[in-house]
Amino acid sequence: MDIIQHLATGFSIALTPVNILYCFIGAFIGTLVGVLPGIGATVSIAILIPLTVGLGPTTAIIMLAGIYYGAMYGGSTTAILINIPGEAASVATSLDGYQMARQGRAGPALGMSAISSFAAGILSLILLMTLAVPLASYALRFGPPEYFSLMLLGLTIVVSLVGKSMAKGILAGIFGMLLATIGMEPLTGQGRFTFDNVDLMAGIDFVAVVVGLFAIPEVLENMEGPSMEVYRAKIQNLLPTRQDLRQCSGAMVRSAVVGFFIGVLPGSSGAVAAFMAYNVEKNLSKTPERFGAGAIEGVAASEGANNAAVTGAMVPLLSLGIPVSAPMAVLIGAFMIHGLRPGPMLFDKNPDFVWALIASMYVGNVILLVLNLPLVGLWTQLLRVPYPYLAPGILVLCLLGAYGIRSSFFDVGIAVAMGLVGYAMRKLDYPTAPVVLALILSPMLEDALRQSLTLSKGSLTIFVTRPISLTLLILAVVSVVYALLSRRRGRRVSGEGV
Amino acid sequence: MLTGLFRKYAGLLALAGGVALLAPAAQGAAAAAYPTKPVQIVVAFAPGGSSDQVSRLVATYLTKKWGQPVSVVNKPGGGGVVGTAAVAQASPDGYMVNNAMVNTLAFAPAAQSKNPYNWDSFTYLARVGVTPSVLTVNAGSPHKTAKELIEAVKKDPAKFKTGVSGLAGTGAFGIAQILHSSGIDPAKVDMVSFNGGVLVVTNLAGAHVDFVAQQLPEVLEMVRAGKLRALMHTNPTRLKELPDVPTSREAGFPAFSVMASSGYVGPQNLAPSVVTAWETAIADALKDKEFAASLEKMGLIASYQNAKEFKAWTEEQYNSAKQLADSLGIKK
Repeated sequence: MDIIQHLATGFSIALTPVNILYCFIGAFIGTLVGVLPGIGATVSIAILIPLTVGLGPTTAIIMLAGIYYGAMYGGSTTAILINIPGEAASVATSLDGYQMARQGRAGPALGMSAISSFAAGILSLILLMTLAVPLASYALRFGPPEYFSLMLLGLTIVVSLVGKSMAKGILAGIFGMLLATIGMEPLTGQGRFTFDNVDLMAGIDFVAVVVGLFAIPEVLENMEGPSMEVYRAKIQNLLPTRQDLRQCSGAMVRSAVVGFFIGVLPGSSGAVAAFMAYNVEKNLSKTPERFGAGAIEGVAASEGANNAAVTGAMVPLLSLGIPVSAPMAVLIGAFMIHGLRPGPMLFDKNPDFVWALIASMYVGNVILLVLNLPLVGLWTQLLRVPYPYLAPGILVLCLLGAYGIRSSFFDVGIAVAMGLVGYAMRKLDYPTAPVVLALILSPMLEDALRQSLTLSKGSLTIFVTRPISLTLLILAVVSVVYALLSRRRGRRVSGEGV
Repeated sequence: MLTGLFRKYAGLLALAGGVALLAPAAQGAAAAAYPTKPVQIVVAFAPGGSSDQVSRLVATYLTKKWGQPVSVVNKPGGGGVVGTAAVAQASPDGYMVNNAMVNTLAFAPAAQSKNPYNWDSFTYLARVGVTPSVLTVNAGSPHKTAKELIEAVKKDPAKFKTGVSGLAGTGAFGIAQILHSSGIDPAKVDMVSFNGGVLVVTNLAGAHVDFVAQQLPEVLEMVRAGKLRALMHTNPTRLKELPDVPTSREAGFPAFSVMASSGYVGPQNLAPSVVTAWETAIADALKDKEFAASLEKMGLIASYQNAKEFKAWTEEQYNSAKQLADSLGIKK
């Protein structure tokens, strides 16, 4: 009952015209920066903080939080339309979303990503309200060994992404891990493969690799065709059909849960959540072979999970004052500027603020759904632009995105180099998604492995003697076995033999 | 449609205060009047950290004061070394400066022989403030004072684990100062390095490590809420945020003195007029009530130093860090 009372107070604050207006502004800016690769939520929030000083603290935070989850809605747009995942969290979306766009189903893909984001957003908010306090201590129980096992579980997803040849897929994953080792080594700051070059010391930026591997080869390959008709089929209906929705309802619920619980953990990210949810759907599907070829559940799972992860990230932020991700860290800065100290006492000391923020996230999710569904029509119009005109635009966006993250021309060079690598990989039939997954996960995996071994003085038993870690390891084994089995089944169905 | 998309993109960049586009165009502009064009502050860390927050505050203030856009550019990576090195190599006109932290400026070159710059590869401008380090344990720890904790560590160093954020950070140097001065070989205590202070504190709260020496704002709220216990800090006087916690001198560990700092440096050979402009601007900013209040909310204690004092202070930090690094044999 307490919750309902608190929530009512929260809504009474969140639904004042001023707060609705700023919630809308936040959601709108978020959608915009989400659409554009290279300008992320983190930078936008950081830039806007000084401008919010004149607003009341609640209003300011409502707007800034809106940018964060708004960016998750917007992030799918370029991933689906032109295969540029602007943020790590939308890589998994592009796997099926872009294929759907090519089949003339960009509308349903975009629509589903908005609907699934909305559904998962609302479901995860319910989890946030009911579980925030007990979950805070659950997040603290994740020490280095638990992270190691979680990241290992994440890496098993490579098996789901390999495509036709297992060997090529695993090689691609190893390539990603190798890329991740470039730069300053996390424990002692020793340079690895840096050749005393300052740019290499910073490591290989993720966005540069993604636009390089995903978008540039796509453009190059499309230019080879005589007609350059990339989006072959006619654009069908703009919104998901009833059948699409039915097909995705399970994915929405599951991705909300997976995304929320991954989001709660400091140091993990929306990308991990999205990939995990994607993997769950693929493993549960009766037709896993459709994944990667335009399965709408894949889009729903990835988008639902990355939005739910934002809500999950509110748990340690509000109950412990711990930011789990870069945008959250900026948000903490905003809290402090407005005289709010996020920490274990925030719920008790500023209940009105906390509940107004939670209520505003309900409002924001509704605003985003209303905002994004009509945009679907607009975005799909973009695909009517003849490809020869669209292609240079895509390339410019790619390079701008690569530059924008760290204001570095070196990253533009990396993007171009990765574009050529990606093109070669395509021609030789190597999958590129495992590279990206390994690049995201392996730095965290390495950190956690070495931290755990420092804690255990070199003994590997630390991973199996701690219950959470052991559970995750068992899940990792199950995940591999399951994926292998469904692979065999898939092959049998498609008549390739075993 | 496409042009519309680009127009939106351009609009956003403009909104970003020209973060990406406004590179200093002409070089070696007349030095007498400064600034005559937009100034970039390079922050060597991702948005959201202390360096970034303080610099955005400074940028807003300077934009008003100077009538020229002052913008923040984030160049994260390599524990802050990459962005700092970029400024060391920038053209010496004063239009690209660096928000320098003591760990990037003094500790990284002290601990890494291959560091791309040294502590004196810069023109020092002014220091804004400092943040004390706090020796902290989990609230469930049996050790109530710094003395008790260090006695116990002395008895059985192998039983203890400590968390730090990078081996050249203030946390690692603070712990080394305490252990070394107490006659404990720091190598005997397992030091787990995490990616950022947030994770260090999280792991202390989850009791995965036993004690840490992170910066005040990182531990303050958890200490106030009774989840962590602060044993001593490096501020010369008692802190008004934690009035019951002794200073390191009071607690009997005067060697524990490391302070994080936030200040501004530029490439070598900046014109004196640039240095004066920064000294005056930062000194004025700290007198501004609103600025000072915002600074305090970020957990930075205002502590102005002019260029000369800031340089001398950094040299002192470098020397003591180097001495420690050499005696511990951690220099690579």
